[in-house]
Amino acid sequence: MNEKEWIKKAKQGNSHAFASLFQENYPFLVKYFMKTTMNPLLAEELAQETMTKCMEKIHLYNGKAKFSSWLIQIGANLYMDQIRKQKREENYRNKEHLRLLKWQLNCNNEQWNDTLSALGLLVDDIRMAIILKHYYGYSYEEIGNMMRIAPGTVKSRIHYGLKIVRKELGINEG
Amino acid sequence: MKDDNEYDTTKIKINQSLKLLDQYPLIETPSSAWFENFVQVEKKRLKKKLYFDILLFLLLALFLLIGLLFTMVEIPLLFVSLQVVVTIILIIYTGINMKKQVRDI
Repeated sequence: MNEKEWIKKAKQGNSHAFASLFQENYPFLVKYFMKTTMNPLLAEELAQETMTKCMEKIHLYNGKAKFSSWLIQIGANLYMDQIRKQKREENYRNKEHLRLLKWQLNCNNEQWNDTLSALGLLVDDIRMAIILKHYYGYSYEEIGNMMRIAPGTVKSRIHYGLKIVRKELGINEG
Repeated sequence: MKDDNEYDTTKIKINQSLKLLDQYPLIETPSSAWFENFVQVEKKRLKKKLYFDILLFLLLALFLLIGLLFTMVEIPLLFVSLQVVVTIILIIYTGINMKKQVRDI
């Protein structure tokens, strides 16, 4: 059975269809959150929250975008909500998770590099905008919709973020 | 603002580094039984939440209706004042929402 048929069944409330859709898209979703949060535990937590939200909102999926893109959109909204809630807290925890990620990658002979460190230093919503634009290829408008901000703000955040990454990497402004 | 092309090298570096995270070794997709169970549990939870929300909505509506009927019959002046205040608040709220367009960084 293909994805469209699973979605049709899921809209009718079929549990097995939901389970199949989630199993198919879970790795993609966790990998997306892994990049935007740089926090393995949070990535899995957000992936599960996204699946729950998807069950609530499946009737709103119109099939225009790919199902995985729609999941990313839900996930981006959830993450933005979480960022707003946590803004008052210290950034310390994030850095702890970064250290954990670095350690785990190194343990598995994967090389941590300066670019990842620089990305890890960015504020969460700026990193998210950069990744959505330059890794996943979404337009400023699409990212604006996901993050609930104006496309112009997305553009300036990305520009600002890239500037910080360049500075951290020691690349001179030309 | 400088043109995005100036940052091409940085973007390539970023993408190459992010691909490393795609190879993160500890991501495991749970079994299909886990997903089936997850859906069942969440379905039950969402159903409970829906019933609770409906109950809350009905209770609130009942409370407001009783309050309105009470003021209309017993204290008509308060009833009229409330109508005026609520209308003004709604107009102000709508006006603010229409003006609010751009959020800063």
